Amino acid sequence: MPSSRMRRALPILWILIAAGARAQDSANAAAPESDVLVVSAARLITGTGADLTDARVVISNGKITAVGPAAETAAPEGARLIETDVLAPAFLDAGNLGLLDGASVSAGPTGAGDRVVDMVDAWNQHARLSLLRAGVAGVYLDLPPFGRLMRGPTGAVGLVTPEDPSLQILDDAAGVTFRVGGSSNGAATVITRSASLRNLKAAFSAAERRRKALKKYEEERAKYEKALKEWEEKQKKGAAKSKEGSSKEKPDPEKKKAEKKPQPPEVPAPDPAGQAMLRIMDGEAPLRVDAHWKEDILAVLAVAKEHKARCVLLGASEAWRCLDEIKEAGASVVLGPSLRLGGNRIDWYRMRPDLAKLLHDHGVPFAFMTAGAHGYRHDCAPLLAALAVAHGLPEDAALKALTAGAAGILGMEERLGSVEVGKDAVLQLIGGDPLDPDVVRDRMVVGVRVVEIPGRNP
Amino acid sequence: MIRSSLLILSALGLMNAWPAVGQQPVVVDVGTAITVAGAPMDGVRIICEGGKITAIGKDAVPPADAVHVSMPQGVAFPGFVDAGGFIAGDRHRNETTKAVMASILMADALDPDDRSLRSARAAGITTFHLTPGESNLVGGRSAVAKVGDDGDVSWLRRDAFLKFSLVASAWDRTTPPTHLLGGLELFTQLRKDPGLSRFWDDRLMVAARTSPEIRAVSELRSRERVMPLLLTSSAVVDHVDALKGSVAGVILEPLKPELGNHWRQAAARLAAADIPLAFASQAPRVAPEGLRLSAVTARMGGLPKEAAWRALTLDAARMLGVADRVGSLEVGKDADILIMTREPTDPRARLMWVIQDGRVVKDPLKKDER
Repeated sequence: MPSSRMRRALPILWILIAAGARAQDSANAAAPESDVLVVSAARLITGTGADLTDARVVISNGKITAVGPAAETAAPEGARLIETDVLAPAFLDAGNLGLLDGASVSAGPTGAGDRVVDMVDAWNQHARLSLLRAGVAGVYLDLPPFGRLMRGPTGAVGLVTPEDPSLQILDDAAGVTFRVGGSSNGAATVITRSASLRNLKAAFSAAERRRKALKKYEEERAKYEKALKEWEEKQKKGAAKSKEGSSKEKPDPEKKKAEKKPQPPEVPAPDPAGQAMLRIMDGEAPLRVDAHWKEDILAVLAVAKEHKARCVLLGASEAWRCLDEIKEAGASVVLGPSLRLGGNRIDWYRMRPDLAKLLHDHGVPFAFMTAGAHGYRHDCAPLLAALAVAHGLPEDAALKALTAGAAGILGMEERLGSVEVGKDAVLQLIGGDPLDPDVVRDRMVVGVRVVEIPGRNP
Repeated sequence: MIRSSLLILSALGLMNAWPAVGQQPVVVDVGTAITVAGAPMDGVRIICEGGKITAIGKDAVPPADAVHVSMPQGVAFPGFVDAGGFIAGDRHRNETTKAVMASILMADALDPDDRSLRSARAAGITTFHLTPGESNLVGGRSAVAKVGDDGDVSWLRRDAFLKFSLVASAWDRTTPPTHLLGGLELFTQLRKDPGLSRFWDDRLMVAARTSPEIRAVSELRSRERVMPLLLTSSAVVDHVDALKGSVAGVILEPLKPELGNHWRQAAARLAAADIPLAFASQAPRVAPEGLRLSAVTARMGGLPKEAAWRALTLDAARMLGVADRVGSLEVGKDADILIMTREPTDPRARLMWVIQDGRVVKDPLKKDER
């Protein structure tokens, strides 16, 4: 991933949400806060595949500064020490709408300029708590297009934290979700298919026009600034001559006209959707497309290739029919539920429950999402991974899809998804296997804070 | 032709003697056997002969010519009992000529070649309750059956429950009953029908989905002196106290993972109130894997693991009146055994083998059934 993406992910927005977790910093309760925290774990799941036993992780100012065997990793003097059975990176849900305002979700996106950060429900403490209890701390906030819509709002990547500020938006223009084919609301037809594809291509064309308009504006702006400078110099000279007593000369109207103050060019109208599309075209954010049928998937891959966009397929029910093409295109897949109870949407019948395993076997990057027209509840990303394990996906691959794999797809691999030096400390402290439905998961590390998560779901 | 012959044979009840004589014995060696009838057993051998379980124990001696199924880390579990759905009879579930169609026997609608049977077996459902639909007040009479992979039908109950429906789809808006109260009035009239008298004691099931409908069912005991099985949705979570002592048991429609925390607790609250509980797959309207997923979701809502196991098997069998044949791993019962990588309410559990009536009907070494 280009490092420029991370730089341009700024400005970082901080949304202050009323404290709901009622979390208590147990480590801080008795002692003054230290900026250095050391977590000792009987088992460390790094998220990169290199798991350690009897490991130690040093966290300083919210970043991981050392990872290694306990015997070889010294604890800095004055650091707070905590222990756990298993330490693992927090899970990431690559498409989640649990933290969005219910009314906004029901209404759906209304225009291309919508941003999902404007739809966040700042007071939904139940959603935040249930996410944390499931071990999910990172979410791609998404509202996929549904009904007759073919384009969702500009998505965002957020970090669920149990204390104020409780939702940290890391990137407020992390992607745009389109729909190609008719699968989000009934069977695909020639009309819906061609219209949605045309819509996707039109978005790229509009972005190209915006890029040209921005370039033209920059050029005109440069000319204007140059002309303004010259004009100001002339004005200064004119004022100086006036002082020298040449005020008896009559002003020349032609000369005065030529000396009229230059006017700035018109600033292009704000266009957050266009800006997001430009980021996609520059490879800084993914093009997310909800597409299910093989024909739709191949059409999307062709458009992405034409515009050199990083393509993330959502749902992709028939990906099993074109695994080689997806692999060759360098696309990723975000899987929704492979088993849905109720309804008779055609793409459900085309979905294979072992699709995650097939993607893994073919080396196609994938992650899981709970969002979608008939997605699971927002705290079910680990359930989706566990159900994929039931259909043959190796458990370590399922964990990777929930951590480092998802971080890569979301463009957050430099900050989230694994326990490595330099990464943000967003970790779960658990009593056993992360995908075990009975595991005790009552603490998380967010930054240097050790936060107790009260109760269990429900 | 073959199908017609099977239907005729089954109608005559001549196939109840299945499984066939001369079937090859099967020996199952697993790390753990969850019998459901008792505590889980470790390092167990299960011997199946003539379609029945003939021995369970560490030292059971296998017959010489047996087929061996071995999974040292695996878990053996009784075949799932689907307490409500339309497997093998979906096309005929609704006969809406009249509001009361008590003469309809779903057993007669069962199609042993129906493709839903294969997917149900692949999902671990070895016994299913074929019920009428919900498009009229009385949809007909249900049946409890098993169908082998060769199409042989084994009836556990050909004429099981009379099914009432109080859900919105039961009301014909042009002829009475047009609404819930009209339906209850007709229920009272039918209560006096001598032709239906055999159903009132313990062969009645009522479908109710919304709060008013469920409340109406909770009052049937005091109004009509009946204790039906209630087929319902997660909305039952708000009516558990009212249902205690009013229903013989509750059959829950698929509990979807999209349910909120409150609704997920439906099964847990019923179990805490000692109301017998089972799950309905509603297959093939819903994917048959949803039966196990209901148990997974119920566990997320706080249902104890053991109660979820029973709801998938023995409690469902008891509720349907077939616990003498299926629902647990016990000597003398039908050899319906699932072999999984973990216990079934762990979502990671992978179903490897399905043995039904002592025959291996799903084998991971053969082409995966889709």
